[in-house]
Amino acid sequence: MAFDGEKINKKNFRVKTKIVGDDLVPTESRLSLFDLDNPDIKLFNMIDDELIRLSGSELLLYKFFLDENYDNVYDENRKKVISPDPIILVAHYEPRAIEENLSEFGIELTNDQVFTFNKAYTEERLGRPLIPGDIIQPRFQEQKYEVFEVQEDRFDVYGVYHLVASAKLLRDGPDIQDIHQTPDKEDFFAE
Amino acid sequence: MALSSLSIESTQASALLSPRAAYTHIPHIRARDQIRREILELEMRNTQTTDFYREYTQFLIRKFATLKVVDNEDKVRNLKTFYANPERAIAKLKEDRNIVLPVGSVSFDRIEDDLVRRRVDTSFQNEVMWNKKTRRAVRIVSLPPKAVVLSYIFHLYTKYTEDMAQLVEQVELMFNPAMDVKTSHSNSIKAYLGDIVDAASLQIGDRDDRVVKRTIMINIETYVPTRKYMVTSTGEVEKVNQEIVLDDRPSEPRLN
Repeated sequence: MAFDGEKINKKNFRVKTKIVGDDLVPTESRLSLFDLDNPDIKLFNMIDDELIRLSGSELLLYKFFLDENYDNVYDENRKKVISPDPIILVAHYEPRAIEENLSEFGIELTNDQVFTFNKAYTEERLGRPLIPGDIIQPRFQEQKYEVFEVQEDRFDVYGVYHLVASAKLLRDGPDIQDIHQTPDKEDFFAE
Repeated sequence: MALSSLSIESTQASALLSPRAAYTHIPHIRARDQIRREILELEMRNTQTTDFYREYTQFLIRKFATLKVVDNEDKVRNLKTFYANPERAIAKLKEDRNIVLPVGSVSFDRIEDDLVRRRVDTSFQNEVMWNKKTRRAVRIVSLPPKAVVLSYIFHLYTKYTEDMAQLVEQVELMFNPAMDVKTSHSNSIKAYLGDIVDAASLQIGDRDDRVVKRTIMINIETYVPTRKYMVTSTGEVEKVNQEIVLDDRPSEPRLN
């Protein structure tokens, strides 16, 4: 079919107002918000970090060492290497009751949890980003959670401030369930 | 080992009875029944795995990874193929592998008894193999492998319909009429093509784009392998130790 510019225009534009544009780059303006070197990013990050430290709760994070020794047929790792030495972090999370649904497997404990970390602080403490496979144990609960997804969040003035980790109850075998070691603070689990 | 060529014979095994078997020996019990009884006892304690699913899954992934797509400039791209239900922590390692299409993935569907090839429960399999290490023939017995039809789904996802057409054409020719599946247990298992279904919707919303997806059913007529045991020169039935290197040219298995 021959190209019919007139018809396409009629189809795409339902109004007759003609708007004239220009090819200037607007981000060069001093008023432009898009500035990756904006010092406000550091300020926003400091405030965010402080807020999480003041109002968040302590938790232990057991690092998962990601290596190439996984099952490359099923793409799974049945022998995860988890650090026995936990790192204390501060994060926001909302403790929720563990759901006890009765199924064909008996009482099935489910308690998916979302933890919010300050990205810069967390990566500084861990020496790397938070990754799926890391294990989190909040101080408030002795329950262990396995992180299965990590997403960046909060993009004010084009900074990245939050890491949001979605986690589920840890269901691995006893060798991973019993990784309890002495945390950095001796009284971490003291009453 | 050609499992598909198993023949059912009613010859009586002439194995000697082990001291353990002799202790529990029932007068007039046939040797083959005694061997079968001992195998069943050993099976209760045996935790060795046969890698049945793993080998078929791996074979299909490797086989489908040989499929190719030729673009408009005659450039050839191999199909990236992987297992369809990975653990998230591992999938994150390779999260960019499906950005560039086409990709394919293999998933389990079902496993069913094959009634036509089903064996009676009084039989056992009897083979003679050559032990390279001791340079002696050894007698290997096992329960008969179980006849099943193992079904997989092969998922294809492409950006262009032409890519999909090329891939499906190659898949059709792979199964002409069957594809030989090679595993450590057999090299003559047949896989047959089932339905090829378009998994894309033709009703696309205002702000959505089309997806080109198809699912291909694959039915493998196979046997679930059983664990092998050795009948020693004194008539004992023992687990086959890993140190024993069995010749890769085994005798024709025989059902007793």
